[in-house]
Amino acid sequence: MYRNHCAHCHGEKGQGGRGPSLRTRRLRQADSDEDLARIIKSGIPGSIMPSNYYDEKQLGLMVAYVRAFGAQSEQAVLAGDATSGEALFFDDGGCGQCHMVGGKGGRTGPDLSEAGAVRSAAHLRESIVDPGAEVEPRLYAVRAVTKAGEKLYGRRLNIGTFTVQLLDASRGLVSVAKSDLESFEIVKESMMPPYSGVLSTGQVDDLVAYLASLGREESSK
Amino acid sequence: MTSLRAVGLRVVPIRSVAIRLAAIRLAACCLALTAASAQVSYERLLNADDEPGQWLTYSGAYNGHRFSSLEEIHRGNVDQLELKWVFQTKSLEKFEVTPLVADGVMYFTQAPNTAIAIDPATGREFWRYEHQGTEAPVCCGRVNRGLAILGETLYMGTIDGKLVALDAASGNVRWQVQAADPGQGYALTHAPLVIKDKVLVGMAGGEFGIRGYLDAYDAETGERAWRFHTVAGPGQPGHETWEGDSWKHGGGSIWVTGSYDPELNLTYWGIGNPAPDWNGDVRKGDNLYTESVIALDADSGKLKWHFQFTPHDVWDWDSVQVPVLADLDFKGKPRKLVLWANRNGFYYVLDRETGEYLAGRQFTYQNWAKGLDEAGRPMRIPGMEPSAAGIKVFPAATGATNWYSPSYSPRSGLFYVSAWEYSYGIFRKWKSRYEPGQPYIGGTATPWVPDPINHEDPGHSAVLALDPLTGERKWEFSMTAATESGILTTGGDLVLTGAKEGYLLALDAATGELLLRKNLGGPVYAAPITYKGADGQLITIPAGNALFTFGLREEKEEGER
Repeated sequence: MYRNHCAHCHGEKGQGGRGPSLRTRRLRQADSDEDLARIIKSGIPGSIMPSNYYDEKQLGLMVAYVRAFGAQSEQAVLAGDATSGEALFFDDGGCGQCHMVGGKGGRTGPDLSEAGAVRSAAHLRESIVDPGAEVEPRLYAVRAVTKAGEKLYGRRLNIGTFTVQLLDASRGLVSVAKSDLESFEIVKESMMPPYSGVLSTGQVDDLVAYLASLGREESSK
Repeated sequence: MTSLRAVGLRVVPIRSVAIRLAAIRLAACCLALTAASAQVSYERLLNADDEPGQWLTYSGAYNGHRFSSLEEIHRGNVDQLELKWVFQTKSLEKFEVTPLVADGVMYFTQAPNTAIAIDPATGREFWRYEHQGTEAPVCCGRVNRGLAILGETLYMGTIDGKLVALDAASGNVRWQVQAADPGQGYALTHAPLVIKDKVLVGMAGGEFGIRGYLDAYDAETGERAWRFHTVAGPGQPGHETWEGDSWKHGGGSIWVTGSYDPELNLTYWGIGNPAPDWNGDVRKGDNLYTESVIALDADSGKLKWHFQFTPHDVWDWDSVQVPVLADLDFKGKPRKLVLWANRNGFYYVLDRETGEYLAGRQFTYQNWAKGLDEAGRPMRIPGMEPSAAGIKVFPAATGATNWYSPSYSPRSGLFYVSAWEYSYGIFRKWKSRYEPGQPYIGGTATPWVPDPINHEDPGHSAVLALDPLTGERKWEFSMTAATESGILTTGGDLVLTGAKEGYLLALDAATGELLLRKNLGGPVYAAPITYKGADGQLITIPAGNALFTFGLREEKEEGER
């Protein structure tokens, strides 16, 4: 059941991927087994975590299976240095221009304050060197030109039949009627450039070590 | 303009203080009579189309048209609608109700099972009845879709398997009966249907391995008159379509209100999925009468005919759509028809005297059948059944359409349906064992539905206008997100609907042109209704967890506020 329904996002061994790593002693949204069962059954509204039909017995098995990952909490020793990674993130690396950590930084990219809790180290590494490898739909961008000739480009926040809401890189929050647009497209590519070749292997290691430490119980102060 | 009204009285508009006082005295004297005057007789239900000022049944009339001849609000002035009132429920469950409006009172339910009576002119509450005992398991939310009325009595089905009769003036319980065992996953979620002196109500629970049935109860006493099992058991025709003992937990739920043809004295009901949903290995055969429309004699509950849309369904395409009954010329001959856009992606035209299949075609993209054969049976494409690895099938388990009320407008001559286009599911199966009161599913179906934020969204939802005799698409109104809203059509040539985006939408019935949109701020999970208030036509639509009522902008007289 886990392989069929969960592994696609949470990884074959619970290491995480599009979905959070389950190899952590404390699941952020599921302190108790009852909470975990409820999330497995009902999903998490507003996220890609869907609801699932399981009977009580199946739910019990799934909870036990997921909890077993927690016992293997990811203790892998990462090659990089988190402190150097943090400096790189906010200074020379430029990550902080678009990403926020702990309320500091930019906002056109996803907030990474909990990155270590919700993504595996491997997934974080891939997101740095090849961010276009897998782009979650919630991170798609919108590119549009208004009938007045104004160009818009930013993160897609909401799209309806009549209007579009986006976080434009330079204007901030923008809400515009589709009828006022000359052109409009959903960009299914990452807004982030690849850092492969831009950062050295050592720098990537440091960044991964820093990001992997964010939001984890083990690193909480 | 203000007004003073009382239950069962016609509206009395009042302008001057002197007249107001007189009217208060008049109303006070008449209040004593109201208990006797608030009568919704069977004759009135039969002729509901002649009283467009009321909304007396779930679909507005027995024919299931969800059409009102009211024309005060029309294509030319619908953009003048203004909000009259909002009623906020105290519930966070999905709000799937269709209210009733009878003699100046609106009756509806707040999920799971609170019945409420309010003044449709002001939205102010008269009374509420809170049914206790609604913790029973249900697959898809503790919802309720509405009430039925006969005489001075309202009827409500409950999550814990009861049919409750309430006094319409007080909300007091007249009687209640245990119609089903909630411990085994049975629940009553749809608005009952009153026919003559009986109350008809069916059982939900197709995901719990119930053996479904439709019951008829004496409206006065609550005594059961008849029961029709929707899963054919020993001695019932069609029993041979179930392998072994699979019929005992074969599903066949009913969770949307049926229709009625008084001339034929036949009542029509759509039947839900067989159980377990996605693994048909344990229930080989066609699995009658799941995924069918059944036509029953309204007095005896005896089966007159049936037509099965999806034999041996393994995709959970419940055929619980409202049966739409129309008398039309078909190939030059007047015929009594049932019109049906099914969750499986096909549109059907049936003869409602005999159940004969007359015409059909797919109305949205699907990839599980080559088409319908001469008898209307789908010609299935091999290899599209759920598998351990998963198989991609259009439409998704949520369907090309679902339970949302369609509408037929005799003015435009078109059939309207809310549809999901290019939605698909990844269907997987696994083994499951029946245990009372536990989900009995047999697999999973990860839906890929119109959702612009969380999905790549190759699909979208739409209001479709179809030729009722062929299913040919006449126009479509596309929407970005999914719709679960039903449709109302009116004598003002309007198509009124909503969607998950939270709009009230008014479209031109002839062309699909958007005439009005009002952002209500929450998803619409039911269909609008229309009726007459003190100052003219009103439209009520549930959205989010509130009822919103609109009417034309009033011309204020000097000094009025």
